[in-house]
Amino acid sequence: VKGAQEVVLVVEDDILIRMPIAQYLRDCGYRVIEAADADEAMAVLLHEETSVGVVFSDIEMPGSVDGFGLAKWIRKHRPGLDVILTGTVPRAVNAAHELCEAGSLPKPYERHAVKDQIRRLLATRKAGRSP
Amino acid sequence: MQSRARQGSHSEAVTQTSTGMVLLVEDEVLVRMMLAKELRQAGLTVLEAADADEAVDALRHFAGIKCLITDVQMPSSMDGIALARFARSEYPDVSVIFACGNDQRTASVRHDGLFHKPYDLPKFVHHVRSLIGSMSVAQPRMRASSS
Repeated sequence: VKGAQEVVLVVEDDILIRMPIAQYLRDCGYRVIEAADADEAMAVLLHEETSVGVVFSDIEMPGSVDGFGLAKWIRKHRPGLDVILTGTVPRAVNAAHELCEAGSLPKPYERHAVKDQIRRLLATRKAGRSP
Repeated sequence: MQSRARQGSHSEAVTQTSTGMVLLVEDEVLVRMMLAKELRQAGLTVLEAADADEAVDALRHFAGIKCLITDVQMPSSMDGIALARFARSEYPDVSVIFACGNDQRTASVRHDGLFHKPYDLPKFVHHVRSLIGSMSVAQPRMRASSS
Protein backbone atom coordinates (compact mmCIF):
# COMPACT_ATOMS: atom_id res chain seq x y z
CA VAL A 1 0.00 0.00 0.00
CA LYS A 2 1.44 3.33 -1.04
CA GLY A 3 1.83 5.96 1.61
CA ALA A 4 1.91 3.59 4.57
CA GLN A 5 2.93 5.26 7.84
CA GLU A 6 2.57 8.74 6.41
CA VAL A 7 0.40 10.91 8.62
CA VAL A 8 -2.39 13.10 7.23
CA LEU A 9 -4.23 15.60 9.41
CA VAL A 10 -7.83 16.05 8.24
CA VAL A 11 -9.49 19.21 9.55
CA GLU A 12 -13.24 19.40 8.99
CA ASP A 13 -16.04 20.54 11.27
CA ASP A 14 -18.72 18.30 9.76
CA ILE A 15 -18.37 14.72 10.96
CA LEU A 16 -20.46 13.47 8.04
CA ILE A 17 -17.81 14.79 5.67
CA ARG A 18 -14.75 14.28 7.89
CA MET A 19 -15.31 10.66 8.76
CA PRO A 20 -15.75 9.27 5.21
CA ILE A 21 -12.67 11.04 3.79
CA ALA A 22 -10.63 10.08 6.87
CA GLN A 23 -11.68 6.45 6.58
CA TYR A 24 -10.99 6.45 2.83
CA LEU A 25 -7.47 7.80 3.39
CA ARG A 26 -6.91 5.14 6.09
CA ASP A 27 -8.01 2.51 3.59
CA CYS A 28 -5.38 3.99 1.23
CA GLY A 29 -2.73 3.27 3.85
CA TYR A 30 -2.28 6.60 5.57
CA ARG A 31 -2.46 7.20 9.28
CA VAL A 32 -5.13 9.85 9.65
CA ILE A 33 -5.59 12.21 12.56
CA GLU A 34 -8.95 13.96 12.72
CA ALA A 35 -9.48 17.49 13.94
CA ALA A 36 -12.91 19.09 14.19
CA ASP A 37 -11.62 22.65 13.85
CA ALA A 38 -8.44 24.69 13.47
CA ASP A 39 -7.88 24.88 17.23
CA GLU A 40 -7.80 21.10 17.45
CA ALA A 41 -5.49 20.99 14.44
CA MET A 42 -3.04 23.40 16.06
CA ALA A 43 -3.10 21.35 19.28
CA VAL A 44 -2.22 18.25 17.27
CA LEU A 45 0.56 20.03 15.39
CA LEU A 46 2.02 21.37 18.64
CA HIS A 47 2.01 17.88 20.16
CA GLU A 48 5.56 16.63 20.04
CA GLU A 49 4.76 13.03 19.28
CA THR A 50 2.83 13.64 16.08
CA SER A 51 4.67 14.00 12.79
CA VAL A 52 2.11 15.19 10.30
CA GLY A 53 3.11 15.07 6.63
CA VAL A 54 0.15 16.81 5.01
CA VAL A 55 -2.76 18.86 6.35
CA PHE A 56 -6.06 18.65 4.46
CA SER A 57 -8.35 21.34 5.82
CA ASP A 58 -11.75 22.79 5.19
CA ILE A 59 -11.80 26.59 4.81
CA GLU A 60 -15.15 27.51 6.32
CA MET A 61 -15.06 26.40 9.94
CA PRO A 62 -16.07 27.79 13.32
CA GLY A 63 -13.47 28.30 16.02
CA SER A 64 -10.87 30.98 16.67
CA VAL A 65 -9.61 30.83 13.07
CA ASP A 66 -10.88 29.29 9.83
CA GLY A 67 -8.92 27.24 7.31
CA PHE A 68 -7.11 30.33 6.03
CA GLY A 69 -6.07 31.21 9.55
CA LEU A 70 -4.85 27.69 10.09
CA ALA A 71 -2.81 27.79 6.87
CA LYS A 72 -1.25 31.09 7.93
CA TRP A 73 -0.45 29.66 11.37
CA ILE A 74 1.16 26.62 9.78
CA ARG A 75 3.20 28.78 7.42
CA LYS A 76 4.54 30.66 10.42
CA HIS A 77 4.98 27.84 12.93
CA ARG A 78 5.50 24.79 10.74
CA PRO A 79 6.99 26.09 7.48
CA GLY A 80 7.48 23.31 4.98
CA LEU A 81 4.38 21.44 6.04
CA ASP A 82 2.08 21.04 3.05
CA VAL A 83 -1.49 22.26 3.36
CA ILE A 84 -4.38 21.49 1.03
CA LEU A 85 -7.41 23.70 1.54
CA THR A 86 -10.91 22.83 0.45
CA GLY A 87 -14.05 24.94 0.41
CA THR A 88 -17.34 25.67 -1.27
CA VAL A 89 -16.98 29.38 -1.98
CA PRO A 90 -15.20 29.94 -5.33
CA ARG A 91 -13.60 33.18 -4.19
CA ALA A 92 -12.24 31.45 -1.11
CA VAL A 93 -10.86 28.60 -3.16
CA ASN A 94 -9.07 31.07 -5.43
CA ALA A 95 -7.61 32.82 -2.41
CA ALA A 96 -6.43 29.47 -1.11
CA HIS A 97 -4.34 29.03 -4.22
CA GLU A 98 -2.44 32.17 -3.30
CA LEU A 99 -2.04 31.16 0.34
CA CYS A 100 -0.85 27.59 0.09
CA GLU A 101 1.43 26.37 -2.65
CA ALA A 102 -0.01 22.89 -2.28
CA GLY A 103 -3.19 24.17 -3.84
CA SER A 104 -6.85 23.76 -3.11
CA LEU A 105 -9.80 21.60 -3.98
CA PRO A 106 -13.35 22.83 -4.47
CA LYS A 107 -16.08 21.13 -2.46
CA PRO A 108 -17.59 18.69 -3.02
CA TYR A 109 -14.34 16.96 -3.86
CA GLU A 110 -13.64 13.58 -5.36
CA ARG A 111 -11.94 11.53 -2.70
CA HIS A 112 -9.57 10.14 -5.32
CA ALA A 113 -8.47 13.69 -6.10
CA VAL A 114 -7.69 14.24 -2.41
CA LYS A 115 -5.63 11.07 -2.25
CA ASP A 116 -3.78 11.89 -5.48
CA GLN A 117 -2.87 15.36 -4.25
CA ILE A 118 -1.66 14.02 -0.89
CA ARG A 119 0.36 11.32 -2.62
CA ARG A 120 1.90 13.87 -4.99
CA LEU A 121 2.90 16.19 -2.14
CA LEU A 122 4.43 13.41 -0.07
CA ALA A 123 6.31 12.10 -3.10
CA THR A 124 7.69 15.55 -3.79
CA ARG A 125 8.78 15.83 -0.16
CA LYS A 126 10.49 12.45 -0.30
CA ALA A 127 12.25 13.40 -3.52
CA GLY A 128 14.12 16.00 -1.52
CA ARG A 129 12.28 19.18 -2.15
CA SER A 130 13.74 21.96 -0.06
CA PRO A 131 11.52 22.66 2.96
CA MET B 1 -20.74 22.44 5.48
CA GLN B 2 -22.88 23.38 2.53
CA SER B 3 -21.64 20.51 0.43
CA ARG B 4 -22.69 17.90 3.00
CA ALA B 5 -25.57 16.57 0.89
CA ARG B 6 -23.45 15.92 -2.14
CA GLN B 7 -20.58 14.54 -0.11
CA GLY B 8 -23.15 12.20 1.42
CA SER B 9 -22.31 9.46 -1.04
CA HIS B 10 -19.10 8.99 0.96
CA SER B 11 -21.18 8.35 4.07
CA GLU B 12 -23.01 5.61 2.27
CA ALA B 13 -19.74 4.01 1.26
CA VAL B 14 -18.58 3.92 4.87
CA THR B 15 -21.90 2.55 6.03
CA GLN B 16 -21.73 -0.26 3.56
CA THR B 17 -18.19 -1.32 4.29
CA SER B 18 -17.97 -0.94 8.06
CA THR B 19 -19.39 -3.22 10.70
CA GLY B 20 -18.88 -3.17 14.42
CA MET B 21 -17.95 0.46 14.57
CA VAL B 22 -17.07 2.27 17.77
CA LEU B 23 -18.16 5.89 18.21
CA LEU B 24 -15.64 7.75 20.34
CA VAL B 25 -16.80 11.09 21.73
CA GLU B 26 -14.16 13.29 23.35
CA ASP B 27 -13.64 17.02 23.11
CA GLU B 28 -9.92 16.92 23.97
CA VAL B 29 -8.33 16.20 20.61
CA LEU B 30 -5.11 14.71 22.00
CA VAL B 31 -7.00 12.34 24.29
CA ARG B 32 -9.34 11.40 21.44
CA MET B 33 -6.40 10.86 19.09
CA MET B 34 -4.66 8.59 21.59
CA LEU B 35 -7.75 6.49 22.39
CA ALA B 36 -8.71 6.22 18.72
CA LYS B 37 -5.22 5.06 17.82
CA GLU B 38 -5.28 2.36 20.50
CA LEU B 39 -8.69 1.12 19.39
CA ARG B 40 -7.69 1.09 15.71
CA GLN B 41 -4.52 -0.81 16.51
CA ALA B 42 -6.80 -3.41 18.12
CA GLY B 43 -8.56 -3.78 14.77
CA LEU B 44 -11.65 -1.72 15.49
CA THR B 45 -13.23 0.83 13.18
CA VAL B 46 -13.48 4.09 15.08
CA LEU B 47 -15.71 7.07 14.39
CA GLU B 48 -14.42 10.19 16.11
CA ALA B 49 -16.78 12.86 17.38
CA ALA B 50 -15.57 16.05 19.01
CA ASP B 51 -18.79 16.66 20.93
CA ALA B 52 -22.28 15.29 21.53
CA ASP B 53 -23.77 17.10 18.55
CA GLU B 54 -21.36 15.35 16.22
CA ALA B 55 -22.09 12.07 17.97
CA VAL B 56 -25.82 12.45 17.37
CA ASP B 57 -25.10 13.18 13.71
CA ALA B 58 -22.98 10.04 13.52
CA LEU B 59 -25.59 7.85 15.21
CA ARG B 60 -28.23 9.08 12.80
CA HIS B 61 -26.20 8.63 9.64
CA PHE B 62 -23.77 5.76 10.15
CA ALA B 63 -25.39 2.37 10.61
CA GLY B 64 -23.20 -0.27 12.22
CA ILE B 65 -22.23 1.65 15.36
CA LYS B 66 -22.13 -0.95 18.12
CA CYS B 67 -20.54 0.93 20.94
CA LEU B 68 -20.59 4.53 22.16
CA ILE B 69 -17.62 5.63 24.22
CA THR B 70 -18.12 9.07 25.65
CA ASP B 71 -16.53 11.60 27.94
CA VAL B 72 -18.97 13.22 30.37
CA GLN B 73 -18.00 16.87 30.57
CA MET B 74 -18.18 18.35 27.10
CA PRO B 75 -19.24 21.62 25.54
CA SER B 76 -22.13 21.90 23.05
CA SER B 77 -25.82 21.33 23.61
CA MET B 78 -25.45 18.03 25.46
CA ASP B 79 -22.91 16.58 27.84
CA GLY B 80 -21.97 12.91 27.92
CA ILE B 81 -24.76 12.00 30.35
CA ALA B 82 -27.43 13.48 28.08
CA LEU B 83 -25.81 11.85 25.07
CA ALA B 84 -25.82 8.46 26.79
CA ARG B 85 -29.50 8.89 27.68
CA PHE B 86 -30.25 9.81 24.07
CA ALA B 87 -28.40 6.76 22.79
CA ARG B 88 -30.14 4.47 25.30
CA SER B 89 -33.50 5.80 24.21
CA GLU B 90 -33.04 6.00 20.45
CA TYR B 91 -30.46 3.28 19.83
CA PRO B 92 -30.97 0.71 22.59
CA ASP B 93 -28.74 -1.89 20.94
CA VAL B 94 -25.70 0.41 21.14
CA SER B 95 -23.65 -0.28 24.24
CA VAL B 96 -22.42 2.70 26.25
CA ILE B 97 -19.07 3.15 27.92
CA PHE B 98 -18.13 6.21 29.93
CA ALA B 99 -14.52 7.32 29.67
CA CYS B 100 -14.28 10.29 31.94
CA GLY B 101 -13.08 11.86 35.11
CA ASN B 102 -14.71 10.90 38.37
CA ASP B 103 -18.32 11.93 37.82
CA GLN B 104 -21.00 10.32 39.96
CA ARG B 105 -23.72 11.21 37.48
CA THR B 106 -22.63 8.24 35.38
CA ALA B 107 -24.55 6.08 37.88
CA SER B 108 -27.78 7.64 36.66
CA VAL B 109 -27.53 6.03 33.23
CA ARG B 110 -27.34 2.33 32.54
CA HIS B 111 -23.97 1.69 30.97
CA ASP B 112 -21.69 -1.14 29.93
CA GLY B 113 -18.43 0.15 31.28
CA LEU B 114 -16.81 3.00 33.16
CA PHE B 115 -13.19 4.06 32.82
CA HIS B 116 -11.55 6.88 34.70
CA LYS B 117 -8.61 9.00 33.59
CA PRO B 118 -5.78 8.13 33.44
CA TYR B 119 -6.91 5.15 31.47
CA ASP B 120 -5.69 1.61 31.84
CA LEU B 121 -5.40 1.31 28.05
CA PRO B 122 -4.96 -2.48 27.70
CA LYS B 123 -7.95 -3.04 29.99
CA PHE B 124 -9.96 -0.38 28.17
CA VAL B 125 -9.26 -1.82 24.71
CA HIS B 126 -9.91 -5.35 25.89
CA HIS B 127 -13.26 -4.34 27.34
CA VAL B 128 -14.37 -2.59 24.13
CA ARG B 129 -13.28 -5.53 22.03
CA SER B 130 -15.13 -7.98 24.24
CA LEU B 131 -18.29 -5.88 23.99
CA ILE B 132 -18.05 -5.69 20.20
CA GLY B 133 -17.21 -9.36 20.02
CA SER B 134 -20.18 -10.39 22.10
CA MET B 135 -22.40 -8.54 19.64
CA SER B 136 -20.72 -9.77 16.49
CA VAL B 137 -23.34 -12.44 15.87
CA ALA B 138 -25.39 -10.99 13.06
CA GLN B 139 -28.24 -9.07 14.56
CA PRO B 140 -30.36 -6.67 12.57
CA ARG B 141 -29.96 -3.19 13.89
CA MET B 142 -33.21 -2.16 15.52
CA ARG B 143 -32.98 1.57 15.25
CA ALA B 144 -35.72 3.71 16.56
CA SER B 145 -37.04 5.99 13.89
CA SER B 146 -34.76 8.98 13.91
CA SER B 147 -36.57 12.17 13.32
